[in-house]
Amino acid sequence: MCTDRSAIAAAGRPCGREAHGRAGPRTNAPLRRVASVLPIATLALTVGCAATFPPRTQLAAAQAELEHAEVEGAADMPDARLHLQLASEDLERARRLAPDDPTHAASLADVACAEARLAGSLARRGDARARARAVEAELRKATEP
Amino acid sequence: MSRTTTVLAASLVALASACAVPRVPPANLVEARADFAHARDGATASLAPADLRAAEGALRSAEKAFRDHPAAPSTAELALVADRAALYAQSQAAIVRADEDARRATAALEMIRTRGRVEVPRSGAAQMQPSQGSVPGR
Repeated sequence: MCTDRSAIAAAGRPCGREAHGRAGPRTNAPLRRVASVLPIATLALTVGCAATFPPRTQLAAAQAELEHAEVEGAADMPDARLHLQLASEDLERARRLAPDDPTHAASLADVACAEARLAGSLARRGDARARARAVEAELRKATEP
Repeated sequence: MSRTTTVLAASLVALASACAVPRVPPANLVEARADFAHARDGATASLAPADLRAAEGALRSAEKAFRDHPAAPSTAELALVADRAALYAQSQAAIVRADEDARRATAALEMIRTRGRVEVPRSGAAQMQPSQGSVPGR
């Protein structure tokens, strides 16, 4: 679940946008062609590497999800912080296991990915609730007689 | 002869029944089932349907792993992933609910500013409390 999403996102996002932003009207067509081929090539490369080193994709996806959760502020919210810490520990265990037991390492990396994803969501939930509470408090104040 | 046959048959039936008794599922799987059921039966189904479907798929994988390899470490890990997916779906639903509450309140404030009166909308954020503080499965 985590693996697929991250791999596709990593492969598809930046190339297309950069090409469209910089190219002039005459050079647009060849650049578009390159831009359309690049994500496919990157994806193929990612899949190829993943076939050779099973946990690499999962480890990278978990790491990306962990960083994302940190950016979301998971370390600052108690609920989210717990899952962020578990994700970090699972990822560390997965890295240590990877050379000897890549299958188990991949499985642990998936757990780390799910933990980090949840941590990010819990952090966003905290922010969303705080925003809602703030507006509702403002509204109550405004409707007070 | 007849008694021996009866006893033998009864023993075989007892043995077969004992073997057919389902093995005890790991705690992670029990929690994943409960958290998924909680999400499915609550507001998550309408507020975060795609995340709920993803959680259902993860739970299905964990159930299959439990049927095929009940004692494997990967089974417990798949169950943990399924549980986190269910909690994620609940959390995403809570975000949608909180955003809706904020939008309603903002709209009401706008009305106050333009018309000078408003009906206060009811908040739903306080009704949704998924995974507060505890870390199931650990």
